[in-house]
Amino acid sequence: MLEKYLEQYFGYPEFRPGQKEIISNVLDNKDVLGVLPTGSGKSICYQLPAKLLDGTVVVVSPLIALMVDQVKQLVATGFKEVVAINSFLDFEGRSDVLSNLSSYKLIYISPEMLQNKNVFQHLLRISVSLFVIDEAHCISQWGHEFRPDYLKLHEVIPLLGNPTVLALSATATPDVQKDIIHQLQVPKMKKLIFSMDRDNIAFKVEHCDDVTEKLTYLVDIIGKFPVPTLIYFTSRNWTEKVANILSEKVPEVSSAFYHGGMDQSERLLIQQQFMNGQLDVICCTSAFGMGINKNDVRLIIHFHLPTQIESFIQEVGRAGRDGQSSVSLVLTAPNDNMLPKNLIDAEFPTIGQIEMVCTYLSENDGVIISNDMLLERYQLSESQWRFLYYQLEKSGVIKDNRIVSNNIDLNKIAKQIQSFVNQRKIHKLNKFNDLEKWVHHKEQCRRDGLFSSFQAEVRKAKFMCCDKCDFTFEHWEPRYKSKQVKQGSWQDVLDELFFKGAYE
Amino acid sequence: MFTLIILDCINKLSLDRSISGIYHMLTGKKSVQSIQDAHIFQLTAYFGIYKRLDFAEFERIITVLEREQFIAVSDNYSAVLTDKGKQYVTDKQEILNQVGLKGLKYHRMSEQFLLRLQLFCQTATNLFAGNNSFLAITDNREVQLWVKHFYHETKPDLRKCLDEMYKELKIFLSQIDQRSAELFVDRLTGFKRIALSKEQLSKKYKKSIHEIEVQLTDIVHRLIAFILNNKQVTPFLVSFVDDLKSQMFLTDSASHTYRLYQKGLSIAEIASTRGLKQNTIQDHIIEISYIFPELILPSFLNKEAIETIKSAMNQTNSKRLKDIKALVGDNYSYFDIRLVVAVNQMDK
Repeated sequence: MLEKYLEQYFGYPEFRPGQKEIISNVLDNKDVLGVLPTGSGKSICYQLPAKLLDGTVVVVSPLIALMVDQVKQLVATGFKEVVAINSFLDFEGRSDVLSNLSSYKLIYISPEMLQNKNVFQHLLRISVSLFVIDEAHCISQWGHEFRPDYLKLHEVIPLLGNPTVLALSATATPDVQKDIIHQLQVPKMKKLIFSMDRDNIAFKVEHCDDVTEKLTYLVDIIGKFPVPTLIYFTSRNWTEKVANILSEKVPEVSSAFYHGGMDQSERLLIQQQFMNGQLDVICCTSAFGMGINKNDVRLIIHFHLPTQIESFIQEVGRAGRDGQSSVSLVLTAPNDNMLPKNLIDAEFPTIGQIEMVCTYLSENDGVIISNDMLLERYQLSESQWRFLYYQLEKSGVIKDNRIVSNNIDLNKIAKQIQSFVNQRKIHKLNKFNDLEKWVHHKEQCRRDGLFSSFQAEVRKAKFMCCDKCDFTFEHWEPRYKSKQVKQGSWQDVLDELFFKGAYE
Repeated sequence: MFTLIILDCINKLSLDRSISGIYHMLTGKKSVQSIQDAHIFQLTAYFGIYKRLDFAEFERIITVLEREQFIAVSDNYSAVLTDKGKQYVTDKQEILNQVGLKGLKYHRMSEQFLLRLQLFCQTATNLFAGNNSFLAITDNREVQLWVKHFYHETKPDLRKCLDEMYKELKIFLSQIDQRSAELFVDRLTGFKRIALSKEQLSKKYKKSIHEIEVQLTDIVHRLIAFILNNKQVTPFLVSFVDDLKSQMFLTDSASHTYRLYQKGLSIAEIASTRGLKQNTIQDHIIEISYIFPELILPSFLNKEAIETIKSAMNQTNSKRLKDIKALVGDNYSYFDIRLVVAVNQMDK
């Protein structure tokens, strides 16, 4: 029965593991915590109910780019009653959307916008049948991407009339799962946990002496395996640099780069070329991949490591969604760990910034907070400020976006925040060290090492397992079809575009 | 072509204007001053042809030109061509003559026109091939709505429309150079064929990204001109431009002022009605006077005044308002002078 709707609305003939169970529970009004591996189609778990339920499905998601992508894709497939409410929406667009809120079946919203009083007033007026928390691990301080504003979600649920709650995550360890249920204050939540391990992906780590050796190895592998490939870097510069090197050294393979600094419409072209098979290799930052529906990515290469195992698993999970043999390759070199450590440092405000902001607060009792001004004046990044804001709110110095600093010892508060920053940094460094340990482990099977903290039993590999067990590139025979787009004269291209001549 | 255009600008402006003025003109910013400069220095072709140009990047290009000794930059950030620069411009005069840019005329419509064309091409070819699931190449809502509407009109006979579009594009592309034609089709997205990004074009043709930007604009301006001049040859493509023509000349704000002016309101009255400064309204009047010179001038200045300012202009032989003002004295305001300068340019 559900399959019929899945086919009718989304064109998929059958469910992936986990989807059906989650959906039928949700349709049965049961609160669910669903943990599904990346690439298993988490979003279908609320998109299909949105089509079937009376009332509206509200999805809280912290990833604005992903939100926008999903809305675009849904609209492209003919699901039009969908909208994303986030800071990208200008004032006019927003008031348009808000005044027609009840006409949407599916509303994506960022946690910030959910805190916006005007927006929330409008939400109260519609009937919400399902409340979805996407990336639910963000609610836990022990998850890999803590979002303070997620901690307020439990207040929202009763106000919306206690709709069915669905919390979704691809990367929640048992501790984080417990924390999610605790923080959301939905005790009867049913846990539906599906295995994280992907049995069709083999793992290999290659230790190089330096960057030059990494590049040589990379060029060699890309030359031998011209398969759909993603290469992850931690900096934009590197994506451009390596894409250029590859175009020069392996010209028969078409490569491009992709990062958040590019023009939106140009980025979209690269993404679509990759999906269309016009491009084989994309050198990218973590900005690429979210919301990409490409089944035949065969190779994921980490030229740089991310800062934790969860992100690594998520990025690797973009390979082989069609179940065919695929490979994850990590390239390391001595001193590689500097970059992630710097990234972790940059996530939090410095001592100086904390002290300066506290001084400002002590001198401006009663003033309304201006985010832009503070970001500019103290050179804070959005994530640094989000962190600081939450801490200040928690200690009562900010109330309803207004400074309340009379008779408050801000020196003490600054010190408290500082020590909390240190705690968080240590936690994050530990998480990074876990990944490093995995990379440098002498004998442990890579699949066991990667997945055993997420699930009791790790499945046997469908093809080869890992470099500790049986994997070598010599024995890898990936299945792929390259469909290079013909580059002819402009007449040929025009003929092809408009179905003329030989193309008719 | 892009470097050449910058050199051409410097050549024509020489020390009369700062280099930043060139930037404002290319990006179409600071409207009125730039529009006026474009007229005075005969650079209307380049107005607003590269709206995305970043100032830091522009400065970098200037620095390179200076280092390569094509130009000499003076302390007040104006520049002249060196002998090497002059020689270069002379040698490449052929290319400049072939430039089809009509910035002042088309800059307000060219982007929208191109997006319409590209999105319609993507939509019609995909739907014709039976694929109704594709991501639109642009998020521009106005363009999306237009294409949606236009598609519904063409839907009953999609094949014929595609044939028409193909035929008309082919006629146009056949009469421009091969390279430009190739560039143009590389930017079209269709069924199972995604356009190349500018970055990729830059690699493919071994040209800077700026060069690609300006060349693409050049082709689009040619195409618009071709369509408007050959409506009987391009009956299909005309629909993509027709309603944009009204946007060709005036900024929205200036046309609002123009409507009030036609109702007989004075500058002061228009300013207070619109809640704007008188200076702003004066800027609008100047902008309008470029388009309708015979209409505006007589209502602000009498014959004698016009003659006085004109002869001062000829006497100084300078394009600086300050020099003209020094000659005519306090009897006439800068606004008066700008008006006469504007109209006088149109006479040429």
